[in-house]
Amino acid sequence: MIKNNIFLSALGLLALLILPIYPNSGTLDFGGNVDASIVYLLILFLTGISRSKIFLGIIILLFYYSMTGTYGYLELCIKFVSFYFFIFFIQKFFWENLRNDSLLILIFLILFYSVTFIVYSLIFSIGLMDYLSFVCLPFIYNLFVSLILLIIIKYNSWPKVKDQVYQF
Amino acid sequence: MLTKRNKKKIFLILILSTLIIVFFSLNINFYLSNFLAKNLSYSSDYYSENSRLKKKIEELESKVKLQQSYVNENIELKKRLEYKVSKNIKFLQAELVITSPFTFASTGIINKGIKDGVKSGFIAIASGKLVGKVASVKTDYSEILFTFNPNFAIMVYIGKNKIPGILKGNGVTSYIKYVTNDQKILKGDRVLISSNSPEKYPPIEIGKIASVKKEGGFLDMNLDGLIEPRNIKFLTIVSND
Repeated sequence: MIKNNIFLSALGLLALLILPIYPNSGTLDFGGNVDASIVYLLILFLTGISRSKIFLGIIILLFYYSMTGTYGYLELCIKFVSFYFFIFFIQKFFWENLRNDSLLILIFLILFYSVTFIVYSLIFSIGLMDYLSFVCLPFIYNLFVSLILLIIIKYNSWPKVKDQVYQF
Repeated sequence: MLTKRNKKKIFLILILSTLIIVFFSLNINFYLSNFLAKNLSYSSDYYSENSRLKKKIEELESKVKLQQSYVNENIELKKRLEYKVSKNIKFLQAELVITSPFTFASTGIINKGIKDGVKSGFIAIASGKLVGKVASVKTDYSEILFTFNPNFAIMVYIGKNKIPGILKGNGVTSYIKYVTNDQKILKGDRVLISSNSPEKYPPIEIGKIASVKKEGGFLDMNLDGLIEPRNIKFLTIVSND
């Protein structure tokens, strides 16, 4: 009988968390354009919401926040707000197919980057074109990496075969 | 009597043999000389050693000429770039080991710290372009603020007249501020790193003016050709102690 190994799962989770912070590590860092926290949280919540997953999501955000500069808290707050709405959307509506899930990711990313633009333009008075040119690649990469991981994890799974007991 | 088939055979053999004879007669000189050189030529150790050394001298001479041309090219380029490295300036190679995964307030960690002589405020460059500035230093590592980080600010000078300004990050890009609008700055003017005085840092070009906008009594300038810091792996810390 195959048992879930908690130690291995924890180790895998830790590796998934830590590896994207190394440049050119070949995990989620496509030239620094992928925000690992967004991708992980999207996948985490799209595969079902529970208290433990929300707790894990908060830990992921705080862990990555610990590696940013002074103004990292701005992005952290925007992410908290955006993911709050994201969870609200998932719980209120029915999303259980790939097309709807893709739409949801797109909506979330648009929401997140729009809120960020509003906040940054108010505080640092950034221009729209500057913002778009900076955000264009991360937006595309985050969208596609999230979608690919979602397809792999949620819509392609190992065949669920019950363990068979043989009697001789 | 020869049959038709035999006639054909003989004809083909004749053609083939003619071709082979022609081929060998044309190349007989090569085969002969090769054979003579290999087997019947006079050889002595003294002669072969001498020729080997002569060959080596020729090779070394050509290498020296090539290196001399590199030195000349380097001197010429330094002259063109007005590259005057002060005695206090030192370059330290470092590796960007960690980049924070957040998109906007991104920072990096390098593998050089206090014990390597890194100090807060030193600038970091890669491929001759500005990457950021050392924000905090620990014993073994240091934190780098990338150019687009809102905490990043450095003094620069613009164009031939070396007009001073402050390059500041705003979360998505960096732009030059605090230059009064009576200054003549044109699109395409070179932007160079400065400290309190131009002599403190070597004049490293960090980009060119992309656009100039009037904002109150000051000019706001965008830079063209800034390096994307999150893509790089190795960088150089410029110390000016």
